Amino acid sequence: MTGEEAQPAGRPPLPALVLLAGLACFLIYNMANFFVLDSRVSDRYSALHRYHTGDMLEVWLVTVSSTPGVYRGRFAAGWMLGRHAPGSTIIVPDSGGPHSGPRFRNQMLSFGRAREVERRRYNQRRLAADIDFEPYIVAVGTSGERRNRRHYRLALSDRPSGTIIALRRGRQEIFADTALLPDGWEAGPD
Amino acid sequence: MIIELAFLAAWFVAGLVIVHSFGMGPVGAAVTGWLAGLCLYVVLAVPFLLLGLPVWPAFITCLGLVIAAGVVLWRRPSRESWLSLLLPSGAALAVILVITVFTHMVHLAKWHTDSFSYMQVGALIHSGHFDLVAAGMLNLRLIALPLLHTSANLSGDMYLRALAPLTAASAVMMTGWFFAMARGGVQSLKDSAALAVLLLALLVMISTNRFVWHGFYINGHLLFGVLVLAIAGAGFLMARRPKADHRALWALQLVCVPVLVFLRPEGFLGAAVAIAPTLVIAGVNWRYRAALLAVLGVAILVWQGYLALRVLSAGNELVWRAYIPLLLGLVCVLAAPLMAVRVLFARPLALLAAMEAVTAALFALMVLRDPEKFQASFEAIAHNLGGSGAWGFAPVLYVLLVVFVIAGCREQAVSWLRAPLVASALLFLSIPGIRNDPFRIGEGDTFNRMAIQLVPLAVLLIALAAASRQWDWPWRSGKRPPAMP
Repeated sequence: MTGEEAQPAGRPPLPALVLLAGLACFLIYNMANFFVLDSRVSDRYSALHRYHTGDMLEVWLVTVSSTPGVYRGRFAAGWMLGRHAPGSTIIVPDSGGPHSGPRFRNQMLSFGRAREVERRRYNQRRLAADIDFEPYIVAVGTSGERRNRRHYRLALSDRPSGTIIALRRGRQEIFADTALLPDGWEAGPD
Repeated sequence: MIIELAFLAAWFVAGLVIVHSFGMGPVGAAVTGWLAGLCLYVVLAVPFLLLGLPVWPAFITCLGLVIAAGVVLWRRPSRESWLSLLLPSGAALAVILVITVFTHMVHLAKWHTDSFSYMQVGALIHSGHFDLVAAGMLNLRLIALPLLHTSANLSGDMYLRALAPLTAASAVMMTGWFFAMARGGVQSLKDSAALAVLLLALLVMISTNRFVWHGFYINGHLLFGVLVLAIAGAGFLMARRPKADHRALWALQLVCVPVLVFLRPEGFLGAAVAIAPTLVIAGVNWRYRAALLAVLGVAILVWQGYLALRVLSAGNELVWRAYIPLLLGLVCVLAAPLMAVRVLFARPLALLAAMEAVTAALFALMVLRDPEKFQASFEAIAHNLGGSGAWGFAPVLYVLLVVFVIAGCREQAVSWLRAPLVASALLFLSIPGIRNDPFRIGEGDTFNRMAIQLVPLAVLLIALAAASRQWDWPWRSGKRPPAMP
């Protein structure tokens, strides 16, 4: 594959020179305006903006304050669990609610790096009310729309069991290591 | 980083070996090898994914290397040709190494809400839960990009950091290589004037703010542009020397076409217009052209058929829009034998002009069907691409240069590359007609991001015209050279 024969030599025709001049002006325009254009837009649309991390989900959920709550709700808890408790089995109630839907399951199995999401029969609110998880909290986060702001908390045992249970206390969603729960926690739905 | 580097290098080696074994020169193999290998990986992974089998990126990459080894045993390139490959392939591997290390040290990645959807689908594929991805999500995000990013999950990342920068590097190198090949081979760049023209055009592309942004953006727009460049550029080279051995270019096209279909919702349209210049070259072996058309049709039918099954199995009905690609896929498969009928392709440039006319008519029809939506879309495009957005006036300047080239340059390149460029642009502009919302003002607008898909091919067209001697002023009627040598 040698390509086509060489082009005839000589002075380029005038229209070609006009095109070359246009290209040269284009290049000057691009170079003169590159940083001006970058300064017009937010960080994420800036061509050369550098972040402190390559974890774009962290940038979106932690660094950028304007991230819509709906997306925080879709990704924040998963990101938190993926970072602090990857490979866990996540236990969710079989009685409905925000943790029982496919979106939560997808979030846990992707960004949450969960091994599996299992449905069990237990009382989310009672377990959350009975136990003081504060000494074990390793990460917190927020999600939800402004009117429906929710707070995530992750409580891990000193000896993680590899199983995390989803609990609720008011607007708080607590993801707790099952090692922190008393024996016989599986009893009665919400 | 090591795992990512291993994948990127392995894809490159597989692609390099295959295109070289089919007869691509050492520089061409080094330039197109990474893209070919990446496409081979996607093409091999798709059947596993759609059949519900586990997608193990390492296994599929190894499968690609085994296929490459098989091609070597079949084609048996000479020892000398392997030696000539050492320097260019070493340089390409060095570029892959430097970009991978750089992107892991300097965090320049760019994102949009779509980026996280791609990452999420990639992570679900990795965890073996692809069945959980909703059909609506697949319809919008497709599978090529998630499949590529799946391999990043092996090292705890959510995306391949070097993928977008390497795609940008590929755009630059391939534009340069196609330019050189169109002018007589890589040695033609010894002509300092031609080299200067090429460098000027490439610098314009590299200095375009949005090109740099897309070079770090987690999405498939720039990859789309590079695939169109590879397919249309290969077709253009075939058109210049139809009787030469084009198996390497054909192999490159064959792996690129399905990936375009699996990459973005408009990918099947992009692939159809990109292969058009190849299909109409009667001088090229009709079996090549028929295979290319059949591969496009099968890829469309496989993907759209899978989507349709997912929708129907969920108890939903197919919307009318879903039948368009299915119909197109069927037509492509059924029309493949027509490539043998030489008389149909007696006037190839007229056929390409007809394709442009059909896309223009389609665009006009869409506008007339919903003028309010298109008015809102045009206002958004004018705002986003007309100087106010991060593009600045770059799109206006690109359009002015392309129009000037089309009007005045009598070079064959213009005739062959114009059709996919113009038809793609018209089809992209028609998109509001088949979606619920018009384009919107803002950097994240779909068309604002899609515009980059046209840039690599436009730059190649402009560069070839700028280096051409066959010019006339647009207002004078110049006779174009014959379409076929």
